Amino acid sequence: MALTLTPKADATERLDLSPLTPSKLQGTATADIANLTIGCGLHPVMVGDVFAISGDISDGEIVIAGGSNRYDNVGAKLNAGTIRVDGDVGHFAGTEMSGGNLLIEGNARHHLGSSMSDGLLTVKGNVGDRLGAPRPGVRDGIAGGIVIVEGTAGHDCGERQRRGLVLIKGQVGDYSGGRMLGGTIWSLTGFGRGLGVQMRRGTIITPKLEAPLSTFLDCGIHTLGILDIMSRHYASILGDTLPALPTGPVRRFAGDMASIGRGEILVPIG
Amino acid sequence: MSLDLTDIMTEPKSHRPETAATINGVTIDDTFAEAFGMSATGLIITADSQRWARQAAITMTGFGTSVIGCGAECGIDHDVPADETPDGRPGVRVLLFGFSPDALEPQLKNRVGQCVLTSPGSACFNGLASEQTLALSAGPRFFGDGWQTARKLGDRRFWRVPVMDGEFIIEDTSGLTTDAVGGGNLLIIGTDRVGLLETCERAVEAMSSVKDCIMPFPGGIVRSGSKVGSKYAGAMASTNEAFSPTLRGASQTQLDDKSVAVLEIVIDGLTASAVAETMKVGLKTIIDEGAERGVYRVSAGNYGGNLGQHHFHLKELLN
Repeated sequence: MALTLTPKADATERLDLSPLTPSKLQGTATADIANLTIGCGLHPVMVGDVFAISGDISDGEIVIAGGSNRYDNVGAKLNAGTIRVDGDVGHFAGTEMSGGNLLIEGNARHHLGSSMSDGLLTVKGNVGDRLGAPRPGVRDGIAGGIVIVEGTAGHDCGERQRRGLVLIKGQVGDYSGGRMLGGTIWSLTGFGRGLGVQMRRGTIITPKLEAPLSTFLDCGIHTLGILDIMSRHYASILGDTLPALPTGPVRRFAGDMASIGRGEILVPIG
Repeated sequence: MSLDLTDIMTEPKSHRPETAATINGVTIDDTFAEAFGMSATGLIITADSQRWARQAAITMTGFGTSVIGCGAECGIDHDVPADETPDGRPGVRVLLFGFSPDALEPQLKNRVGQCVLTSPGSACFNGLASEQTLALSAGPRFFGDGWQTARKLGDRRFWRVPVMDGEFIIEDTSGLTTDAVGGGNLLIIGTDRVGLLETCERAVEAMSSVKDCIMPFPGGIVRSGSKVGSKYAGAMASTNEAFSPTLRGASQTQLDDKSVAVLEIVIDGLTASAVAETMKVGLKTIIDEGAERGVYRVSAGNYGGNLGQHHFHLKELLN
C-alpha cells in the first residue's frame, strides 16, 4: 500500500512538503516521517502534526489524500516514483523535478514545474502564473519532461523553457513562451497577449492567433515532418492520454525577430 | 623431328583444398572465409513513398563496394515499414562499414549530405542502437546556414534543415559498432557462366532476408575477386589469379579442369553471427539449386588465416 498522508485539519500556515518524495523517504520509518519538519513558521510543524500516516514507501508511491493551496513544494526535486495529491497544491509543485510522476487532482498555484528537467507532471485543475518558469535568481525554465494541465494556466507560462512539452488544454494567460529557448508549449484553447515575446527558439502551438506580435512573420501554410516525429514520440510515452498533435497543415509564424527569430508559432489549419 | 612438349610445359599447380562434402552434385571445399573487424553504422532513411526512400538509399550506398577504393562498404539492409520509422513514413535501413570510426565519419557526412539531403522528401534517422555514436548531422545540418533548429525528444535530437521542398530532418547522431565484420565470402565455381550467375542471384536474394548484413558489390555479386597487392606500385589489390579460369594452367590455381567461371558473394555484417547466418543461407541456396544449374563447387577466400580475426569454415555452415 502506498504511503498515504491524510490531512487532519486545514493547514493554518504555508507548509513546505519538499521532504516528502519517494526517494527522500526511502528507508525512513513511519515514526521518523512523522517527525519531519514541514512548517515555515516560528514554531516547527511536523508531518505528524498535519497528516495521519498510513502505508509505507516501499513501492515508491505517496498519496496525499486531500489538498490545500498552502501545500508548497509538493514533489519538488522528485526524481522517481509517484506522488498523487487528491486536491489542490500551493506554489512550486514539481519544481526542479527530474523524474517520476506527479499527479495533482485539483489546482496548482504559481511556478508549477519550475525548472523541471524530466518526468510527468499532470494537473487536473487550473494552474497559476509562471508555469515552468524559473524562480527569481534561476536562469533556466523547463529543461525537459512533460506537463499536462487539464484546465487553464496564468501568465508567463513556459518562460525560458529550453526543452520538454507543456500542454494546457484551457486558455493560457499573457506573455507565454517569453524568452523561450526550445521545447514546445501547446494550448488547445489559446493564449493571451505577447505570445512568444523575445523567444529565440522553440515551438508554440495554438488553435488561434488573433494578434501576433509584429515581430512574428507569417511564413505560410506547411506540413511539418517534425510534428509527426513529436506525435509518435509522445504517443509512445503517454498513449491515448495525450491528444493527438496536429500533424496536418499548419500556418507557421517565425519569430521573435526582435531576438534571433528561430522560434515558431504554429496554428493548425482546418 | 617431333617435339617433346613435356620438356617445355609446366606441371599443373593446383592448390585446391580438400573436400568437406558433396551434396546435390555441389562440392564444398574444406576451407574458410577470412574476415576482418570493421566499424559500422546504420541509418533509416524515410520518404513520402517507399520508392523515394529506396531511391535515396540506393544513391547513398552507390560506389560503396569496397573500402579499398570507395572509403566505405555500403548497402541496403532491408525495408522498414512505416509504423516502425520515427516519422511514420516508409523507410529503408542502410548499413555503412569502414576501417575505423574516423574513416567512417567523413563517408557518412558526404554520402548523407550529397545523396540523402538532396533526395526529395527524405529524412534520415539513426538505424543502430548503440552507446557509441557518430556525428550524423555534423555536415548536413549546416546546409541550413543558420536557419536550422534542433528538437530534443527523450535522448534523441533531431535537426530541421529548411530546404526547397520543406524541411530535411536528420537525427543528430547514429549508432556505431566497432565489432562489425567485413569480408565474409563465398566463392561459387561453375561450368556455365549464365547458370552460375542465376544461382548467385538466387543466393543473394535468400541472403538478403538475414538482417544486419549487406552484400556491397553490384547486385551482391563480385566477379573480380582480388588478392592483396600488385606488381604495380600504388595498386593495393589486383586480380586473384588463383581463381581466374583463363589462368588455371599458368598460375598457382585453385581451380580444376571443369571450371569456367567464378563469382564471389561478399558479406559485411554488424556481428560475426549475422555474417555466419548469411553465409549459411547462401550456401544452402546454392546447394539446393544443385549442379544442374552449372554450379559444381563452393569455396571461400582467405589469406592463410593470419590476417583476419574471423574465420568462417564452410563445413561448419553446412550444419
